[in-house]
Amino acid sequence: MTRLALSLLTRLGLVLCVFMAAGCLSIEPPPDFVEREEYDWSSYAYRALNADAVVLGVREIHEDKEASLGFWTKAVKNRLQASHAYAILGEETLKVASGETATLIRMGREDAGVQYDYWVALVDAGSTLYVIEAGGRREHFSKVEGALRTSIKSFSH
Amino acid sequence: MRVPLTALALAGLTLVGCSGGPFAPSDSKARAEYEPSGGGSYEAEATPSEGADSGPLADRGRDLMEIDDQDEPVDMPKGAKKAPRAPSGTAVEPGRSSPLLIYTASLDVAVYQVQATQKKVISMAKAMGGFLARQDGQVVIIRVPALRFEAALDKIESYGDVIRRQIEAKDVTEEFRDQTIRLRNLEVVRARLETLLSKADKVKDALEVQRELARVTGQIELIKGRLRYMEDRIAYSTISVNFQPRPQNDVAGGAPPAFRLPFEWIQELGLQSLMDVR
Repeated sequence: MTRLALSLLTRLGLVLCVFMAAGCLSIEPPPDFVEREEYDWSSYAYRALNADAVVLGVREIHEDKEASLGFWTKAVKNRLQASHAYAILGEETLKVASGETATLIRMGREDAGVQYDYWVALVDAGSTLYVIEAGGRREHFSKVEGALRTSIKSFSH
Repeated sequence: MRVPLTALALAGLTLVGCSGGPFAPSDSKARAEYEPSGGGSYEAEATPSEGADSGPLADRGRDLMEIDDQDEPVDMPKGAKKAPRAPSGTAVEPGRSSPLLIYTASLDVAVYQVQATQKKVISMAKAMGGFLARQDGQVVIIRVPALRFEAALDKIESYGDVIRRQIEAKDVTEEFRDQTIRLRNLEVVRARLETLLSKADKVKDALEVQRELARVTGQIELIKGRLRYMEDRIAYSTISVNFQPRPQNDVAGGAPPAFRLPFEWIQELGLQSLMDVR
């Protein structure tokens, strides 16, 4: 095997590793969002943000406990509403690009007089649960709400 | 025989049908002694059970006699629904058969935005024909027409998480009836005193009657005030809402959670984690 071939294989391996680490997920960020490189120890598989610090993120959860989307939705709402003082502003279902039905929970909260919006969309893909989050200060978040919804719909894995 | 006017005046004061009050009738004999000609209705009014048969309060009295006390202080847990019987009108209507209830509610509500929610509650009260009674810090007290009491509660509860809910329906039927009878009797006594005063031929007698007249008039005004107060409370229910801001510990920093599920990723959810992109 030539040195060149060895080098190509090494590079291909690296690309595959990166690809696998990202869980093959794909999401189209809103315009003017910059994708951020996540460290290995990050809880997020993907994050992107704009200049106003509105952040879009995706977590990839390999949960060995089998539970329905309804269970996870309730668990997330309970956690954020009861323990972390988020107000549930609404809940809706969306169809994502990979075909699953996602549950989008729209929340809000106030901190030191500043209002924030926070969305959590749950996509149940069998053994993997994808958690898509979006959040930021309300005055900035509201400007990109539509684009964020489009991004969530563009999600595939 | 000459009966001193002052003696008559004092005897007249005992005719007021008020149990336990300063003008309570001592016995039926006292009433009989002062029985004016054709004054059967006065006697009837002085005795509630008989007053139901004649006089201006007859119908109302009959209705009121049949009503049991219904003071209902109720502490209800979050989520519990109490459906108090709404009064049939926004004012006290003579002759009606329903009990006279004063509705009050006290709520502790945890909300996302205290000031904005307070404004919504005040606007809602005005839209329902009510008004803001008091606003002090996180507490808002509104008055709404009794007929809109339940609707107002439902609306307020939709604005946040109800932590505490207390509703009271105080039955003032008996007190209202007693005070009304007492008022009528005092007015009769006052009329008698005025007659006696006009006939007084001695200064001393006139002064004594005058003094009693002033006292009776004072009592009448007090009772009228009390009746007006009750009418107002019956017509407009009072809702006191204590708004509690939800604990603000997530964006700025963590706090001990109320409960934990065995899924670490759920514990990590929140803006703090998402927006930490350093």
